[in-house]
Amino acid sequence: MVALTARGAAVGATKLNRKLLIIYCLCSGLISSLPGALIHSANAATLPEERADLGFNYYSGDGLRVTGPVLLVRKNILDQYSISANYKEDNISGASVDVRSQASAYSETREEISLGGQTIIEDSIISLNTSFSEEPDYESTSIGFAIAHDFFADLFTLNLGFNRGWDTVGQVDTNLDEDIHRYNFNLGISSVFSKRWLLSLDYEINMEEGRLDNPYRGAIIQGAHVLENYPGTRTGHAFSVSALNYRRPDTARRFYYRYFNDTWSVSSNTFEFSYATPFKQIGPELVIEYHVRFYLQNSASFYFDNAPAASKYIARDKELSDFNTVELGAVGHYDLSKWVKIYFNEVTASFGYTGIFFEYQNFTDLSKDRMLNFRADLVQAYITAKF
Amino acid sequence: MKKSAFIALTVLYLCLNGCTHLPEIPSLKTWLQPYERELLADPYMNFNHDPITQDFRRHVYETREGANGGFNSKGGGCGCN
Repeated sequence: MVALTARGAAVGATKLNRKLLIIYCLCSGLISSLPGALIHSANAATLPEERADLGFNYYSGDGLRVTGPVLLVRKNILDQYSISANYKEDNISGASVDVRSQASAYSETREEISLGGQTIIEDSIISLNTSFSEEPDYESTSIGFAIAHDFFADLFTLNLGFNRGWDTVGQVDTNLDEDIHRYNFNLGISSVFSKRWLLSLDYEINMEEGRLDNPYRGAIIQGAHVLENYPGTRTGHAFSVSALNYRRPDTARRFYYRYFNDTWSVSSNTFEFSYATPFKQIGPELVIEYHVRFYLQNSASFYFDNAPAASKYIARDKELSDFNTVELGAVGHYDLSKWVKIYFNEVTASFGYTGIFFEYQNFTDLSKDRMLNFRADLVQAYITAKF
Repeated sequence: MKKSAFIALTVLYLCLNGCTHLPEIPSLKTWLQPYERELLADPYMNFNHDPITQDFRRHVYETREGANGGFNSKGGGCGCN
């Protein structure tokens, strides 16, 4: 009935109606599963912990600066439901290198709101979520569904998920209004491997269709600037394996590897290692989480720094070029619980810095006439309260 | 919101109301009892223990790298124009 209502209402729906419809389906879907969930109250699956986070994000790199607040609230209802809301704002100023050569610096604001709900049904957790992102020349709406099912004495968890997205691409001072349709399927299995090890294997497929090139960017053919032209579809596959290991006393290590390739011949390998341990000089209240990450990417088949001849598809987007990154970072979590015990079980103040070093093999910085390389700085500060 | 959306919403609805009777896996001998999992209860032994940091970094990767990762925060905020 919900779906039939949704179908009827969708005919001729405006963008606002579409957002309201998605929220309606999300809420009514969760509520409609209430009787079943109450009957099957004995379960091993657990809902995510209740928490509230308030923080500030900062990104700076390649002439671009992005700052803004972030807020996350997650609350349980009747021990069977978990609802969450997330708000983010990105205040963007400047322009990256591939835009500076053809346009001027700018500033704009992007806002994103995400809503989610989860419920437990026997050994499964059902999740629904939706998000809206809006900025002057780009809108994005998505809905998602996921199920995580514990089995074999809760030693394994099977994860299935589907996401659907609708984007609208615009261009400032023009009437450009084109769509992108996105589909995402993911399948994963995680396992309690031993007393100290957790393992996870995941596969994800992303399909996109529509205006996939950037209306602000251009390509170069024999030194002459032309418009970019991308294929209208793209399908990407990502395989990843991750492991968590607990080491006494009180340290945890995480290993991560991902292989990605797509129908544009972009392929990449990602390696990551992180290590969380108390900072002994201060005490157990302060936990530092260090991480190092390596990312290696091959360029798309139609990417050219300076194309020798015209071709059907052509791009000069540095995100599609041949490049590597090295990333180093640390986040400190300081437990404030001994000072704040009134309303919350735990209160933590966190501060993190990450430096990402980009090195491009076939993207020329035209202002310096050499291959581009730069460092991006990521800073985060936030307070977390668990209740 | 056309045919594909209708199908997706129908699947969501059926799953929410129909997943209360998932098939049971036969009981086999497990290699780890619940009381042996105390170390795994550490908050850092969770793949999603820090959603704020993970979400921020994931958004940077999505907008700066050619390999697409997560989905929900896709689009926008890339400083492309």
